[in-house]
Amino acid sequence: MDRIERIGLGAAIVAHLLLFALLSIALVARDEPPRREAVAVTLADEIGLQPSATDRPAPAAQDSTLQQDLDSMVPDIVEPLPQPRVEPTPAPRQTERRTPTPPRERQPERTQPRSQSSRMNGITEGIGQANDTGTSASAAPVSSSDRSNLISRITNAIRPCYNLGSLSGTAAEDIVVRLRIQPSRDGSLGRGQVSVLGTRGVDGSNRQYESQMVEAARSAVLNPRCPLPPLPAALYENGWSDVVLNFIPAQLT
Amino acid sequence: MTKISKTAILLAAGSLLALGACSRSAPDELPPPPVGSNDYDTGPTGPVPGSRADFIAQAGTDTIYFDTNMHDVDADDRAVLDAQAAWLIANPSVRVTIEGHCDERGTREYNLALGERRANAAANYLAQRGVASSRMTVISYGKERPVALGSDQASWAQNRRAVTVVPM
Amino acid sequence: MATPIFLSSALRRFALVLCLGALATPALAQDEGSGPIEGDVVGGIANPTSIAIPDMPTPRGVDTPAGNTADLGRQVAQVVEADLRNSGFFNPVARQLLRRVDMPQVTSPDYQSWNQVGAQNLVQGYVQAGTNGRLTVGCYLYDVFAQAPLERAGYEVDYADWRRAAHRCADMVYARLTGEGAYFDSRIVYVAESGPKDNRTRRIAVMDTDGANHRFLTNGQSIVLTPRYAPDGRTITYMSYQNDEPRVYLYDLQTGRQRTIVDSRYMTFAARYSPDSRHIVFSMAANGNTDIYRVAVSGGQAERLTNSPGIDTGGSFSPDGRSIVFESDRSGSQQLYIMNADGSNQRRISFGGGGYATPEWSPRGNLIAFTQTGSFNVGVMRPDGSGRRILTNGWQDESPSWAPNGRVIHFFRSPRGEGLPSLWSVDVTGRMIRRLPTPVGASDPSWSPLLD
Repeated sequence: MDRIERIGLGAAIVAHLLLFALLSIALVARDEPPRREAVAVTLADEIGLQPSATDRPAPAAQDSTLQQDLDSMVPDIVEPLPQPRVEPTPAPRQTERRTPTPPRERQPERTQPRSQSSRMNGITEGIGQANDTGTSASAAPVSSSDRSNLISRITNAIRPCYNLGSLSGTAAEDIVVRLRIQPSRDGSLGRGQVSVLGTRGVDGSNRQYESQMVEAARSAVLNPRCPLPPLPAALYENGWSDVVLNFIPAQLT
Repeated sequence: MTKISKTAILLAAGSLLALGACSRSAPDELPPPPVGSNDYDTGPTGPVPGSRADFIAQAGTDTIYFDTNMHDVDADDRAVLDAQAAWLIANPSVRVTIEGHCDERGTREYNLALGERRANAAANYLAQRGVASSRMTVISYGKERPVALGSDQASWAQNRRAVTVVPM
Repeated sequence: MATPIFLSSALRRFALVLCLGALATPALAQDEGSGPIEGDVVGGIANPTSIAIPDMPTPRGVDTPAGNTADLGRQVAQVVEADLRNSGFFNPVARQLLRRVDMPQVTSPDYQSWNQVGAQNLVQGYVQAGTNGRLTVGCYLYDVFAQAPLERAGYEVDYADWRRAAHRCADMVYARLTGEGAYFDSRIVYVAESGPKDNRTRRIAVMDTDGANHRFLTNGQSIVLTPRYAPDGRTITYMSYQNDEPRVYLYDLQTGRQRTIVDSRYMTFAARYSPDSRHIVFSMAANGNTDIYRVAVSGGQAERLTNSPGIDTGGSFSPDGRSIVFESDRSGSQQLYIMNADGSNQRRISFGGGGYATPEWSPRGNLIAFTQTGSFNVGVMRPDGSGRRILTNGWQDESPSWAPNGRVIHFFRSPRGEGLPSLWSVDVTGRMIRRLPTPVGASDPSWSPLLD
C-alpha cells in the first residue's frame, strides 16, 4: 500500500508539473487581439434613387426632405378592400349598398410640402377640415337613445382592435386620442374617412409616444378584423355617418 | 489484492476531495489534478515541518466560518486562529494567503467586498496574536469559489469562510 | 409592492377620465341630429403587432464575399424578423404566408394582399451590391391598414457587416412603431461560464444583441468578472484575478491592449464608466473597508468619493454625469444612495422591502434598476426612491444592465443547485421575460452603446 501511495504521489507531482507547464504556455499565449473593427454605416440618403432602381422617378429636388420623398411614393388614396358584411336587418336600397364607395378626393394637405420636424403631420392631416364634410341636413333627427345605442355598438366592435402593443404599461397610457370617422353607407371605412381631431394628456413624459398612440387609434378603426357592425341604414344620416371616438387607453379598475 | 486496491481507491477519492480544497485555495484556476495525489502524507514519517499538511495537522483546520453577512470572529474561530497563530509563530519563514469567501446568496460585487472583510477579520486576529502583517496576504474570492455546491443552508454555511492558505 | 404605483397611475387616469367626461358631455347633450355622435373606446389591449417582413429582392444577383445578394436579401429579412420578434412587441407573419416581392413593389406595396395575410405593418427592402465593394440595404416601413408609407432608410455596409444593416433596419422599424429608441445594432459583453460550480472557467465574451459574432476576449486562465462596455464603445473595463491580484482592467477593443485602471496594492472592482467615457468609478477594498473612487480613463490619481466604515460599492453614473447612485451597508443592510459626482451630498433613496444592490441608472435617467437582495429579483425605482417595481421572479436574478434605449434590461439568472447561469432580458414594464442564447453559461451582461 505504501508503494501504491508513493506511486500516486509521484504521478500527482508529475501531473502538477505538466499542468503548470501547460498553463504557463497558456499564459504566454494570452488574449487574442480583437480583429473586428468598428465600421461606419453610412446612411444612403438617396436610397432607391440610383439608376439601378427601376421603380423610382427622377431624383427628387435637392431640398427634398425624407417626408416629401415619402409623399411622392404615396399612391393616390386607395379605398379599402370591399368588406363582406352582414346586411342590416332593414334593407333599404340594395343597389346603393352594392355600389362601391366613390374614391375620396385627394386631401389638399397631401400636395403641400410638409415640415419634416413633426411626425404628426402625416397623421393629423384631417384636422381642421373634418367639419367641411358635414352631414346632409335633410335627414330626420336621430333620437338620443338611438345615438347611444349606435355608439355602444360601434365602440364594442372597435375595442378588440384597439391594440396598444409596446405602448401598454408606459406613460403613453395617459394620452387620449380623438378620432372622427365618417363611414360610407355600406359600412366601409377608408383611410380618407378617418381624421384625427387631436390628443389630450401629452406631456414631457410621453410626447415620444404621441404619433404611436394616434396610429393605434387609427389602426383600430381601419383593422379589417374589426369592421363596423351592421347598422340601421335609417340611422345613417345624422347618426353613424359621422362619429367622434375618444380612445382612452387605460380602463379604471 | 482486491481489498488493497479498494482501499487505494477510497484513499485516492479522499485525497481528491482534499485536493479539491487545495486547488481552490491555490490562486490559479487549476483544473483538478489527476487522481492519486496525496499532498499531506500522514504516513510514519509525518508531514514535512512548515508544510501545509503540517499546518493543518497542528492547527486542526485552516478554515473558520461566518454567519450570514457577518465577518466577526467568534469564540470557536478564535480557538482555531489561536492554533494557527501558534503554528505561524513557530514557522516564522512561512508566508500565508488568507482567502475570504461568501455563500451564493449575495450579489457578486458585494460579496467581493464581504469576502475581503472576512479575510481581513481573520488576518487582523492573527496579527493581534503576534503574526507579522507583512507575512499575510488577503484575497477575496466573493462567491466565486464555493466548496459546497448545493443551494441550501448547510452548503451556504460551509461556503461562508476564511481559509489560511500555507504554500504547498 | 407595486401598490403605490398602481394607485398613483389609477388616480391619474381617473382624473383624466373626469376631464374627458366633462369635455364629452356637452357634445352628447347637444340637440338631437346636430353634429357627430360621440363615444369612448376605453381600455386598449396589449398584443404584439402583426408585421410582414418578406424576403428582400436584389436588382441583380451578385456574388459577394458574404454570399449572393439574392441570398443576402433573404437573410437580412430573417434577421429583421428575429430582432422584431425578440423584442416581444411584434408578431411576424409566418414566412410561408409571405408573397414574393419584386423590385418595383418595394416602393409601391400591394397593400391589399398584405391586408389579407393579416399584416398591420409591412417591412420591405432590397439588397444591392455597390461598385465600391459595399452592400446597400434599403429598408421601407408601411402601415398596411392606412395604406401609407411610414418611414424608410438606407444603409451601406461592408459585406462582412451585412447583419448590421439588418439590425439598423429593424431598429428603424422598432423606433418608428414603438416610439422608443433603437437598440438592436449594439453588442453585449458578458462573462462566459463553463465547468463545475467549484471550478468555473470564466471568460470575457462579446456578441451582437442577437448572439451572432460571438467572440471570447480572455482565455479563461484567470477569474474574470463584471465587464462593462464604455459608452463610446471603444473600451471594456472588467475585473481579473490575473497574477492572483484582483484588479480592474481597461481593455482596448481596437488594439487588444489592457492595463489596470489604477496601481493599487488592494483589490479594485465594481467599475462603471461615466456617460462621456472619460472617467471610471470603482470600488477599492482596503483592510476590511470598501469605498468608491473615481479615476480618469486616461490615467492619473484616483479620487476618493465615499468614506464610510461600511461597504460602499456598485457606483453608477446618472446619464448627465452629475450624480452617482451606489449601494452601501452603512445603515446595517444594503441600501441605495445617491451622491454628487464629487462625492458630496450622499443621501439614501431606498427604504423598506429588503435590501438593494447593483444599482444601474437608466440611460434615460428616469429609472434606476437594482437587484433586490433577499428575494434576488431585479426591479426598478425612480431616482427619488419612489415607484419601486420588481420585474423578475427567478431563483436568483441579479446584475441588471440597460439597453441603450432605456426600455429593456438584461440580467443574469442562476439556477438553484449546480447549473450554469444564463442571460435574460425583461421589458421595463415587467412583460416579455426572455432568455438570451449564449454558447455556454453566462453572467454579468453589459450593453454596448448603439454602434455607428
